[in-house]
Amino acid sequence: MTTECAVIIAISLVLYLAASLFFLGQIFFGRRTWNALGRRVLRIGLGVHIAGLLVHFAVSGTSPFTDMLLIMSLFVVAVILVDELIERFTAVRSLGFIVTPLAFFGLLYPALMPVRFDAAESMLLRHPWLGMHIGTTLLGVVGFALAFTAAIIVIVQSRLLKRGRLNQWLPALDTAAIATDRFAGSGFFLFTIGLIMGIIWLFGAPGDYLGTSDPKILLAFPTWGVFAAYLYLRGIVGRQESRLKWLVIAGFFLALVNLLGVRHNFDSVELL
Amino acid sequence: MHILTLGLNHRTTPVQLREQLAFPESLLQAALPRLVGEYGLAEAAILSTCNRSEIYVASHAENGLSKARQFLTEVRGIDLSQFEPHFYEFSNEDAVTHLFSVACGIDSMVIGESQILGQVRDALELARQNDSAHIVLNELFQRSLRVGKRARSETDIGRGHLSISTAAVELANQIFENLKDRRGILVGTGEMGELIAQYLIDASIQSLTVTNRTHSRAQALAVRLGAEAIEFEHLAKHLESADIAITATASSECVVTTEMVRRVMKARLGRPLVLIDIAVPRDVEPDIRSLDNVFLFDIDSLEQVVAANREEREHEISVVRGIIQTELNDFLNWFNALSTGPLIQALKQRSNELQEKELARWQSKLDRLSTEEKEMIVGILRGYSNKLLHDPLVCIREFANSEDGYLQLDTVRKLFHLEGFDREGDDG
Repeated sequence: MTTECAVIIAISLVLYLAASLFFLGQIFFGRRTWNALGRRVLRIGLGVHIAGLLVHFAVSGTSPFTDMLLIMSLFVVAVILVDELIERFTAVRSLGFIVTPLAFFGLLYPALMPVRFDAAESMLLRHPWLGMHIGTTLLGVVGFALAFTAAIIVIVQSRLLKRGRLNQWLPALDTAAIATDRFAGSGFFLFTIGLIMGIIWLFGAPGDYLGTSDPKILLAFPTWGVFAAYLYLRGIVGRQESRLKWLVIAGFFLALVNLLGVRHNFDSVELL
Repeated sequence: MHILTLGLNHRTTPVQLREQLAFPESLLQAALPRLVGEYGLAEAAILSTCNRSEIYVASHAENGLSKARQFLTEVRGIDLSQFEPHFYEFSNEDAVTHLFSVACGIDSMVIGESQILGQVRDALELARQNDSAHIVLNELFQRSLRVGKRARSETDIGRGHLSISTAAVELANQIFENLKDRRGILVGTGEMGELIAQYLIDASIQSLTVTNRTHSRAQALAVRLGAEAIEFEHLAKHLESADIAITATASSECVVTTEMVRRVMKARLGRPLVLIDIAVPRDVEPDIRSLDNVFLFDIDSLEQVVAANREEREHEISVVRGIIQTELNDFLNWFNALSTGPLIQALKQRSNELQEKELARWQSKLDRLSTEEKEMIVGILRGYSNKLLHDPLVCIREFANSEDGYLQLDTVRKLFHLEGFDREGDDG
């Protein structure tokens, strides 16, 4: 990663933290203006972040999938962009108070523990399907992240209402439940397409990679399975069953662990 | 210049007196030019709503309000003696604070209502049209509109207060975004239940069903509400399709049991069910809360929501007061900057008077001196006086732009015994 890009991403990291604090402050201290401030700071952070990525690609010209910080940057930018669109065009509101801390920690982790995938550069150049697989799967995880956010809102809102507590900052329960479904559904669709692309690449990949037990591939299937189970069960017990939302939360954590903590073992096999 | 307010409102005056002092628009058109023209006030504006009648005046004289009273007596033909106990008067800082509070809606009957902002705007517009609002009242009213907007955008003051009935509807709205697609059922024919049902109808609920042990009473209420009456025995069946159930029977036993709702929820495929139980003794078994997606609000929980709302609103009022204070300081600084010129003028005039007085005291001895010597002494006296005043005059200009300038300018007035000196003069 270029120095300019690292500095710009560090600035966006600080802005995401500030936006998170504003959103949380609005909830705990009931200051309405803090929500608008948080939203403004988040937009500036997003702008800075996108600028940083553009600078990086313009200067280095390398693939975005060779560095964990870059992969997470793309993930965070996509999540915040979708959140912006949702906030602007739908009745779903207040996702920001979960999305923004998620963006902050999602970016902080690879910033503190940098990981480079040196082998990936040559792999990606030789196998374009691999790049499409990573990009589409990442978009699937973006959908899971937003489904996770909406699921948390359903659980929090449900508990508050069970205790007879009225709040003005969370969306209505049915709206949040529908949002969870739609995000989980679209995330699942993209994730599935991503997996299919990965499988196509695997079958087309030379060498004995198919025969190795890649932990990233192994963990992708339970993630897929959990979301498949959620989408199936909500058809049986109803989408507004709040206990089902725990499946979404578990599924997203699996996806996050796979994204951040598990690597393909490209280095261990000779693919040519 | 003084800013003064004379008025009465819903808190100080009963409606039968308020209506006598109300200004219809036709009367306002005639009143404002007269207040300025005949009664010699520098500026005037009238804020007249169904809850208040207030005259705002910018006057060079402190007794500007006596002219407003005279106007009410002579022009409106009102015997003021019956109104005197109900009038309130504010001057300068208090008058500004009052108008800001009015614009923010914290002086309204329904705290935070926004209609008043439009009425303040209309009062200003009318005063402008009638050439009775110039620099002071124009600025004051413009700023009050700004404060009112800030209060509503930066706080939840405009959210409206909750009663038991509206709290129930608000809670239902937190579960269902759009009540237009929802069905309601009213169990019992109690007054409070009917009120909540009416609020649901006002919120455009899709349909409402009424049931009661005595079917004829359910039918009568259904006719009043434009709803459908069903037999009490079919309650469980109807709960499967209803989204919001209001229970308000006089039954001594629970009419909605956990077991009944457990069965109902299976048929509902997990769709949320809102139960609003306002009966005492309760109509719904409290254990129902343990069922997923069943939301039970009894009279206690509704009262808690109302109490929490009341507390929130008190908090919001204190935040609004903070906004008013900030804007008040800002306005007073502007106002004082406006009056810096007369203060400087007054200080110079005071200095000249003292010089003349001293020269007069020494006149007999000065007469013995030559013209050059006399001019030299007068020159020394003037030079000394000007040098002495230089720093205070610089300070006055600086004070006018500082945060607590109005306090410092008041200190200057006191130091040089200029209280009222720079503000005196006839109106007109």
